[in-house]
Amino acid sequence: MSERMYARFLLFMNAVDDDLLEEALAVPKRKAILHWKALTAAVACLCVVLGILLWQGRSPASPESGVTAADLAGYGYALPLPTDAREVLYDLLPSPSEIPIAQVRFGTGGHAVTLRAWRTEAPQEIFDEEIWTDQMDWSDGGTALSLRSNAQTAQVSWYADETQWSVRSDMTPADLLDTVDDIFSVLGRQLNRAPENAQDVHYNAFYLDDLAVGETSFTLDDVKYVYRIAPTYDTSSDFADISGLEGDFDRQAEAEVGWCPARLSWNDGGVGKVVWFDVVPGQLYSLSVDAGASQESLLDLASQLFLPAQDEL
Amino acid sequence: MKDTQIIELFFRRMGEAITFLAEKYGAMCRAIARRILWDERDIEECVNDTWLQTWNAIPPQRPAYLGGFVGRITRNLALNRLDYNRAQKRESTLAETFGELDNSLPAPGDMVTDEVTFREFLNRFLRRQREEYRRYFLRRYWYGMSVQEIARECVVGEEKVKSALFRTRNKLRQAMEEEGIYV
Repeated sequence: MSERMYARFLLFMNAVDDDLLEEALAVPKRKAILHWKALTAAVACLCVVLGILLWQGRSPASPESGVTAADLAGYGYALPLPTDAREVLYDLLPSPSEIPIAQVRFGTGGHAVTLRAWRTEAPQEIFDEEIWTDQMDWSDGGTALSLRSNAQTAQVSWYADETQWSVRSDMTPADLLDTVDDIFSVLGRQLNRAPENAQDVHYNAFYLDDLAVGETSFTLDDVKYVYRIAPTYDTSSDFADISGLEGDFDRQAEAEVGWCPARLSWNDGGVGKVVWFDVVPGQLYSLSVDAGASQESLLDLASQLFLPAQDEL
Repeated sequence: MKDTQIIELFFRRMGEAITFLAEKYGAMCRAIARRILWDERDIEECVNDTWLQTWNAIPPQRPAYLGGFVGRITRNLALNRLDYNRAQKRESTLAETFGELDNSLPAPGDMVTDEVTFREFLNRFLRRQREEYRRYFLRRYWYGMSVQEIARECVVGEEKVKSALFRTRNKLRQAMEEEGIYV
């Protein structure tokens, strides 16, 4: 770096007020579940959108028919479908830009699912507004996801590669996340963290003590495992146990998974867990097992599953 | 231990305050210093000096966010030390990251803006940005964090962070050109 550029570097580095520098390191607050002002604004926006659509003589509930996957491909869309999708119906919906929203409706496991995608420069809401009772935002595999749900409907959304994705269904949130996991696999992305030879793989996400936890459960050699990951900003050495497995254990030990400090608790041949913490950039992990636990088996599988976050940096 | 409890220990002038502070934020401060310096002894000294400065600052100060408070102190201490280490001709992560911002800004002109005017301009610009975008921008170019780190810690997608950084860089360039700021 030249002297002139170094001087410019120092000028920039020393020019920002302390309160802004401190604010930047603060942990972002979670969004409120339901805010009356936001709700009022959303309802007002919905009325405007519905008015425009009615004026144009088309309804979001009655999209164009006879659209094929090839028509969607003409707009650069390739909508992924889970392997067990049935009664597939494609549509193109009008959007505020020149690029329409691509939609596919399909059935899976006795439920109706609607998947939409819109190529856009920024994250957008692409379904009609709904009143949600639960919501969660988390990040997994480098993708930020949101889950919204009420008693009837669940919706998962994410924005990746300049495309807004959103999938809505009458499934439970947990079942919908499994469907999203399938969609991710088709897209070549990874949501669940199960080993290749695992069976009965399920992905879930939920809040646990204010931590956004991504959970993969799977069966391996007839033993059930639960693997959890949660980001945290608390770097205390007494890191949190996110396994959710409580109770007394006959054996306890401290070890390392990769270079991360780990704590193990288990009953020989019975239930067990290992929890570990990757301090940079701050991720908690847990692996629990419902049978056949031993120190070696827990550490062995934990090491296989653990993908150090630093490798992504 | 909660931040408020640690701050309370500082107010009571109890030595354990530093132990708890180091336990909770030591790793974060080391990570911040490591993006600016490379010598482990320098990094460790910066972190230790951070605890000393915090001890001298609290009280009377009562930080709203203790992590940000100590992180900012570590960063400033590491920047001061960077000047001494330049003789080793090594680039810090922060300096390399700054190059990304620098490349998108107007070239220095003949009439160079004075430091006070630039500082006033830059802070006014930053305060006009959305808090979320400002957080990504400062973490990237003033703390040297990677896009992946920012996305993970702020629980957002990497694409969103990249997009926000791109837009904010463009806005800064535009604002500098409009107000005739050349540094």
